[in-house]
Amino acid sequence: MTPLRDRAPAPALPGVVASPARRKFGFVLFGATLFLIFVGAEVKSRHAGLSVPDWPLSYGQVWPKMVGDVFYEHGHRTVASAVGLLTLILAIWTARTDSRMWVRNLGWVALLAVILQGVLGGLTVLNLLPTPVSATHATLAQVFLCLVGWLAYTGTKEWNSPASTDPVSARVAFRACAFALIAVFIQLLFGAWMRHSEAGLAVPFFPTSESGSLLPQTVDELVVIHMLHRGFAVIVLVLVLRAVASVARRLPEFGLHATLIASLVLIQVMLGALVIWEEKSPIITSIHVMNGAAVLAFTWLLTLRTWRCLAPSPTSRVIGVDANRHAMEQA
Amino acid sequence: MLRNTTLVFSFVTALACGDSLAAEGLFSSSESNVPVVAVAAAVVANASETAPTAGAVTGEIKLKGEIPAAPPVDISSDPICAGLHADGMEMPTVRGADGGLADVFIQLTGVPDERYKAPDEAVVLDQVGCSYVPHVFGIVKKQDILIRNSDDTLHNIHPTPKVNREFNVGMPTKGMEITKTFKKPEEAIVFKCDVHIWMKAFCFVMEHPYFAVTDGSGDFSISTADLPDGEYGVTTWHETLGSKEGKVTVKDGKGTFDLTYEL
Repeated sequence: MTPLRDRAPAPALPGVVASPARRKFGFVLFGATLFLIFVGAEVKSRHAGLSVPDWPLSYGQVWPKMVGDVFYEHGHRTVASAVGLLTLILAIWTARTDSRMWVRNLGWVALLAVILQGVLGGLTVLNLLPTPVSATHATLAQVFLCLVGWLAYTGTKEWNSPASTDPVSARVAFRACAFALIAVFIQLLFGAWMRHSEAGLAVPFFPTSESGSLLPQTVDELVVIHMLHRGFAVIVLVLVLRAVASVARRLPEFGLHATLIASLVLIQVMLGALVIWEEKSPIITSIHVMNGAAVLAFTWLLTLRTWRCLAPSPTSRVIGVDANRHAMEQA
Repeated sequence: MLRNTTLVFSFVTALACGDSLAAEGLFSSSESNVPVVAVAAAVVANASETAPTAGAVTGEIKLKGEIPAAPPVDISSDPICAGLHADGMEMPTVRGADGGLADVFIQLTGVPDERYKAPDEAVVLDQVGCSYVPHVFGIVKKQDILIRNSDDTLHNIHPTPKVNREFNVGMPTKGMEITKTFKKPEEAIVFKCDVHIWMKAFCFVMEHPYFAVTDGSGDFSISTADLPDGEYGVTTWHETLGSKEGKVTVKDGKGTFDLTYEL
């Protein structure tokens, strides 16, 4: 059997259009979405969500005076509009140039998601920040980032080439990544719940109080919500580092990607501690939110990359082909 | 007549001085460029709260101790606000003069359990100099609050009641006015401007009209119109110094109540 590293790169599948320009555009949108998540987090961190009371216009205007906290809220709306426009362009571009129907549909789903996200943003303002709507708005942002990342990835040569990796190793790595991905997503839900319940400082010390206690003297609902996020972070850390180790060992070609995730998750823990120590400093809290989204998105992309290795060819990476069965046959 | 004279005098004084908000101590600014007409309107609104009446419970809320220096507020995020307060702005939570404590809400308790009609005239809440004037005010439930923007910048008016209905309205232009009210009694509803996070006011929604807010010197006057003579409870509230209780006897429509807060 030829060693994996010595294998020649597999050719791209004929008929699949993977325009370099569209691929780059997709990754630009991915970066813009990450920035949008930071800008949106700034709105929440600075309690500026209601500084513009109307929607879709701002004080009845397209461009109000950018004074006080209007800068954050209207700035968020502006960046969101730009991301919406970029998504529209990418969806149309994909629909007109990509031969894969499921990729074209993915573009439309991304567009639908960004529209829904805008409507949720409007509803949260008009209804004075109800926690369920605000938390859904925060969570959908992360899902949208993953969708955009996936869309960009489908335009890469890697995605459109047959996998040349040992499927058994890929299967083990994929499972580890999938578990990590689920854990990160649950953690983001806990984070959104904590943030929008104003429970971020319900436990104002880290890791323990002066008396060495993990919990404050009185335990209430906010403390429970806070501790869910803090406690689950340990599980996330373990699962992500396990996935990173698994990928690094079994699929070394993804080692850099895995290292990036390991770095991001360790930075995320540090940022979480800083949020407490700096008493929810807005900028640190917003970076914590953005970095959390990055951990999710890059774990999602790594999961997709390992999943790709399970499938025999790009065409089989379409819903309806049993990639797992193929992997078993290969083994 | 006396009341009208006081109002006219206040108006003329405000026109003459043009710096009355700072003098009133509503916020401190060594160089206030607040429009004179808006200032005059604010003074008139305040005067109507403390003007003595024929029958009234009057008194003074005193403060024992040094008034702490208020930390400066960072208003640089809005150049218009910064322009109004070129030497900086402070929002003291404890203020007063001559040993008196301002911004104390005082209400009588144990008054006859009747249906009190809300006054026809609205209470004015002005957004002027990037601050709320008055800082503390009361209404009888269902009484109108006329909310005005006297600043050449945009504000949003956003009260956060627990019992009444919350609202959030943008007021982007100078001179814009809206009228709102609350239907249920509630204490210390926080009004805030989410554009300018330092702006805050407190509203009390009352069942009856027997309440007042102390002026800059700690003085107050509660009209006892239609209130039978007798002994009544008094509850006072201050945003940082808390609540206190006492009693007052009303005889021939008059009573006196003094109280001291300690820092």
